Amino acid sequence: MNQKTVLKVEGLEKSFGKVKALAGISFEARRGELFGLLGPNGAGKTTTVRCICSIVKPDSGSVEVEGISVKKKPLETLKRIGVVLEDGKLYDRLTGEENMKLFAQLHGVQNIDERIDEVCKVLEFEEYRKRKFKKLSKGNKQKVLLGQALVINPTLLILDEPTAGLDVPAQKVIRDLLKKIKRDRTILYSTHIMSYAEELCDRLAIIDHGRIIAKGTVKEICKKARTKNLEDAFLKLVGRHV
Amino acid sequence: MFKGIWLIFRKEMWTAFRERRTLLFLFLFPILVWPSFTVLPVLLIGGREKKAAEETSKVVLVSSVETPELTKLLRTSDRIRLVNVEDPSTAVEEKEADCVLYVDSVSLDSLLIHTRLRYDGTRTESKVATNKVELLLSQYEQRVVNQRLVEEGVDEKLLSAVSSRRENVIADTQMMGYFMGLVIGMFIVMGAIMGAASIIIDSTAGEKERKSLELLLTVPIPRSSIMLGKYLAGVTFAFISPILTALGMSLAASFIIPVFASNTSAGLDLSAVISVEKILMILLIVLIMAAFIVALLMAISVRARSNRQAQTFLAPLNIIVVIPVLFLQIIPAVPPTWMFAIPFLNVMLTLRGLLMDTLPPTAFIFTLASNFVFLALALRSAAKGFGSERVLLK
Repeated sequence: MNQKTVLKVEGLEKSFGKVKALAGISFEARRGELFGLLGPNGAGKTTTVRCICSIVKPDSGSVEVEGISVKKKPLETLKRIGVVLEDGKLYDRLTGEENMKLFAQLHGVQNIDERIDEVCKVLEFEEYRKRKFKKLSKGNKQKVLLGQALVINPTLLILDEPTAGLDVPAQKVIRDLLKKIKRDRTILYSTHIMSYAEELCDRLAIIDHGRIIAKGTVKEICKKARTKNLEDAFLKLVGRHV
Repeated sequence: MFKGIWLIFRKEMWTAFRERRTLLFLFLFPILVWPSFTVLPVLLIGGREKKAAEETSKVVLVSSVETPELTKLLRTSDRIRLVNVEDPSTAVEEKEADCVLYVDSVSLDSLLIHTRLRYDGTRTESKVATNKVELLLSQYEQRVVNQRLVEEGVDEKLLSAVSSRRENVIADTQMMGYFMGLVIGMFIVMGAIMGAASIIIDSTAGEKERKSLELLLTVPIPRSSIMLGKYLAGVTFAFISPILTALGMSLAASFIIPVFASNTSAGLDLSAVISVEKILMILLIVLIMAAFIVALLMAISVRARSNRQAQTFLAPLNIIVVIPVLFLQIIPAVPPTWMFAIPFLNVMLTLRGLLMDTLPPTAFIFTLASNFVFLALALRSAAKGFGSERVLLK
């Protein structure tokens, strides 16, 4: 594994009954890079994320985070990963701050209060931190979800469709936040929205039917597909409308 | 590992105590609602019966024949009072009297008189008055028949063949224990289920539905710690709830027993039924039962997709625990040992046995062992559910 490589996924396969969700996924995400996992619904993005986070066990293949095998030392790798899952929710009866604190404690974070202060400042969430999760707007709920992932100061931040279900202004807020936090960490960003991937990702992999069909920078993928933008490249490579 | 269990346990307790529904099931139901449901009917029905039995009932006598002996018996009875009303046919409805006794002769030369009692079947005072009059009529009949037989030359000694008296082999304190064991046993089992169901459903199926469980699985603590933290929070609730129920019911019993005692001559001293040793044994049984019940609730609700589905899955359990109560009334004070192997029933039998002082030591051990076995099986099933991708992600 290259010294710069934070996440290495190799030959990942996973089936749910007769359905083959992943059929040999391989990619690498480097330090300080925002790596996009782009694909239509049901392509295998969430299953890949679940395999990386030890939520499901792959049938074959391997995942390494900072050179540590997820299969051999799942808890060690999870210490390094902050996660925002698609449609994920936190605890309604806890405040935004309490939710962040809980996840920080579960990750064994030191100086929790200071970390929460920092994260709330970055997320511009200070005004709402004492408000119960259920009383927050969708955009602010998403900020708390991001907050619980950031508070542990992860080496690898995994975001699975973090803008799903948000209105346009809230999506913009989250995208701006990603630009702000991408500087000093590795982010795996799973999405099906082309424009966001084009805007945010340093490199990306296009996934369809559990396989990676293209990998590289936006420019490289467009060049390979002989198109002008990522959306056209995506449609051409996938070979259908999504 | 222990830190993870503690953090999850604390989170569950924290969130549960902020839920009004949980507090309702944990405190309001055991302390107020259930005891009230038990006390009020007994106090209302039993109290009214007791009062009606003690008070003098108002009876209207409408007689078309001369029955001086009967009239004298009715007049001299201290349990009823003969009253005059304008219209006997509406006296009961108008509540001017508790019942009306009509006395007619069957025929002019007949020695037989015919009586008819008019009363209100929905009114306790009226029913009690009718019983009193029927008892007096029975005494009157016995007296008249005896008198006639003596006049016919029958020896008075021959007129009585049986003299009887009831003797209850169960001591007064045991009777009270029987009553308490019957009622409290059921409420303790139901209390444990109701106390824990809310928190367990919410922390398993509820979290799956909200998708917070999946996020929780990404924290660096073993899955078994997550499960145990949730489990221990459930056990805490399942333990506290029946204890509060037992306290509430004991308080209720102190109201009920005076009413109950007047009918059965049971004793009134609660301390005679519950000693410190018995309390400790009851606490141990309740703790093991709570541990088993929560494991069972967890094993079932973790397999549900949503809160609502978990409630549907668990609905039969509420019926299952009531079944032993139905059998409890026909099971003798010292049941065969194998019965102490049946879940739920064994807890109720043990509680009854402890309160009645009829529990063999082997039965107590059998109950503990049985609950341990079922606890292990249920916990294994819950752990299997928590370890299964198919179950957790469905």
